[in-house]
Amino acid sequence: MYRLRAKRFAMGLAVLTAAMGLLLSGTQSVAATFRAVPSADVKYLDPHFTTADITLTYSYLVYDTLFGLDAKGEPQPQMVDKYDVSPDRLTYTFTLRKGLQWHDGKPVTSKDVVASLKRWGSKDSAGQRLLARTVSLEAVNDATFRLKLKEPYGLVLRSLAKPYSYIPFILPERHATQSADKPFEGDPVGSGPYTFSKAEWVPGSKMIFHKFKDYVPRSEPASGTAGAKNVYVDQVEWVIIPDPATAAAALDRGEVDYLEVPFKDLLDQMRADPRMHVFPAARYYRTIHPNKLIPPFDNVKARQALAYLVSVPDILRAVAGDPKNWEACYKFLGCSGWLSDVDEIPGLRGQDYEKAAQLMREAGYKGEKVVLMGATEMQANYAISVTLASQIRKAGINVDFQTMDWGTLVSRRGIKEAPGPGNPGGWHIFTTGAGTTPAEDPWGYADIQTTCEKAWYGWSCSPKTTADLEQLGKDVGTPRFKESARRYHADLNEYLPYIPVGVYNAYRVYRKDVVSGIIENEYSLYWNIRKSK
Amino acid sequence: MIAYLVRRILAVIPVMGIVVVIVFVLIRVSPGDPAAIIAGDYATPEAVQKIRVAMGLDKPIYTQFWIYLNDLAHGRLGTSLHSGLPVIRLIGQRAEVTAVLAFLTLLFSVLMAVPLGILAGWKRGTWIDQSAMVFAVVGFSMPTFWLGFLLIKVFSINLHWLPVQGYRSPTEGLWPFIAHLILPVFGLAVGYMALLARITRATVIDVLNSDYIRTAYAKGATHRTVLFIHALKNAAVPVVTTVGVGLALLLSGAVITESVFALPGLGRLTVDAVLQRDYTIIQGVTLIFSFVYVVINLLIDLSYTFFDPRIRY
Repeated sequence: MYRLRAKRFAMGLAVLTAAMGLLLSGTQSVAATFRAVPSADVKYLDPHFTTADITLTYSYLVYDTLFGLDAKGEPQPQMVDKYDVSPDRLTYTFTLRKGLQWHDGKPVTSKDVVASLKRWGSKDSAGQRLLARTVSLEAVNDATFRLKLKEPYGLVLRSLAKPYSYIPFILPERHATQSADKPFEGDPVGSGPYTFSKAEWVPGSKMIFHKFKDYVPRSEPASGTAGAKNVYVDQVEWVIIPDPATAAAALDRGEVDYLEVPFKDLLDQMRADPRMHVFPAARYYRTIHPNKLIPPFDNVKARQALAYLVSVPDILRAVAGDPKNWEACYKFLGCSGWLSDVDEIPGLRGQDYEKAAQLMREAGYKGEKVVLMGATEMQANYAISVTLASQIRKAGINVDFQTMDWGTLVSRRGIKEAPGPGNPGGWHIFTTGAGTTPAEDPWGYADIQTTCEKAWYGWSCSPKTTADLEQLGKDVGTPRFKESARRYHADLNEYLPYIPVGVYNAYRVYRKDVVSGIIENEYSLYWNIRKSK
Repeated sequence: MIAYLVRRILAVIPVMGIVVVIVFVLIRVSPGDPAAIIAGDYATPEAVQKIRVAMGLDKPIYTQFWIYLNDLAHGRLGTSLHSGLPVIRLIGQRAEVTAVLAFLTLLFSVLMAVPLGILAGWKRGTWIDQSAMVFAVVGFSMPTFWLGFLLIKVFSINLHWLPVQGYRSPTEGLWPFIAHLILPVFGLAVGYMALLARITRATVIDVLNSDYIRTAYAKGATHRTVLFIHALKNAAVPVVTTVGVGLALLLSGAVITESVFALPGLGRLTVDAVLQRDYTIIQGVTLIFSFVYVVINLLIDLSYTFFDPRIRY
């Protein structure tokens, strides 16, 4: 009897110990999980609904594109296996790769593609330009679709490879036939290298992406958004950590592997850490936008005054600190892209307050308040706004620097009327920015459009510039391109839709002691990554 | 007592009604446009307007209010303007974290601060009292975010004892659950402990100077009897009030701690919703918080009758 009790006691103890061990240790995490801290929390799962960068990054995991843009900026086939262009450049015939399938197991067909391109073209400026030149876009069979144009257009492949803003991601037909003015209804189903489970999603906390085992990658090496999308981890987990210092500490402790936006003040410390790899992944242009519907900036001389009064190096120093982190550039569309062989903006290089004041007087300015809006929680935006306010003041302009949160700013920037007693939300100037890919693409970059009422906030209006941009699109790939580009830039320099104030590096960091294969791209890409432990 | 209880419960209805109206109106007259935020930075004004129409944000405010009331009448808090997920699900996902954080912080604070305050009050003017009050001043003066980072630096980065961030549910294991909460609870509790210790000390000193305490001493009661039998129960009313109000404040005020330690709680949900102008989440969370406040206040009022027999409802 005593022995039996002792045995039962021993067994009970063993079970209790095992249970406690399990309880205390917790559930084991999946071995190959790549944990990243993204730049923001995803709010929308429809890639054609919003231009938010984080939705774009999410979409590259879950969806696929017909073409990708390689590291040299050249379009390369992605979902497309082969394509054929007729000699008159009016008919494009595309054939999809074999083995493409949706995450629910159904095959991707050309009907899905046609519906997706039409939906994308209803929102995106590059898509709208393409569809406006389109006679027909139709499925020939399950694997082939055909695009017929009214006139030759040099940007067909580049539009289909567009890697920013609204991207022509391919959606299932049942989602692609819904209006793009609302997020599509139904759980997201893509054909990209990862699947996403809405049930595991905790908005504001974490998103989990599982490897899509039936994804067939291309055979070419990964390059930009093109090439093989090989997945070597079981899952990617996005961990939302709002505080950058906490995120840096989590990276240090190995709780996460990758930071999309590392804390600027800790970059040097991270560079000195042999476990970390810090790399400049993206470059951001900053821009100053005047409201061109109201005085004084409806007068081009006032916009010229802005160019004269700003000091680009001072602004970039305020945003990015050390000169190794930024580059002063005095041109529209950047200083290193394929459209950079053009003239600088007059007056932008070299600050001249007297000239600026004189131009303001010539524009009819008599000391009225000029409202400058700045968003306090956006570090770069606020730094520029503070510096700009000081520079505007020194040119003798009566600046009313109003600070607010970004949510308020984006709502106020839609107000066209001049600020005053009856319109306290009106504004004259705000600053914003964009990555190099959008900011170097005049057909897709909303800020640079000069289409008057249809233009972006600030409402640039120059029919000549708009016409010359259309001509530039036609001249891509022809001997006329260089001259056409110079003409378009001359228009921009004369009209000044906004004032560009250079470019700065945005860094990313990962634990190189455990992670390899990260593609150093402007937007984070999550294929090709290996994790060693 | 029952009549009082019924009266108080019935009073919840107009209170919640007023909250619904005020919150609905305030967030809509505040600057900010959810459609502009949803559309993203590269979207044209035309695209923003299309989203505004599609989401019904272009409708007159009274129409929007009617739709909201209709949803509430059917027990629906609506769906997030941004993620499209039901607000009740979002709140449910976050409520556990905030409730656990607030409860453990409160428990830890009460267990530490009340005895400390009693001791300080009882030993008034001694080194114990002075040390306790130095702790209270320091604890109250330390910004929560600064203390949070300090704790992470020492216990996570230098000593490798505890994780930096995140939350683990008890179902993922007891130790991961506890380990992820030690630093946030301590970081949040310090300021609250300081407040509670000071109030407890002041109340105990006040009670110990009362006539009935002198009477008890005159009748030959010992220090221990006076303190534990006569003083503490009478000193409890202000302390319970502070604890109750503190719980309500902790529920909604843990946002800094939640941000520093990346805890997915209700505080962060609310702040994100405000920054994103996610009207339905703001409305839903405010409604829930208001209800919790009302209930906590009711419970505090009812608890007075236990501590002080002179109070009758």
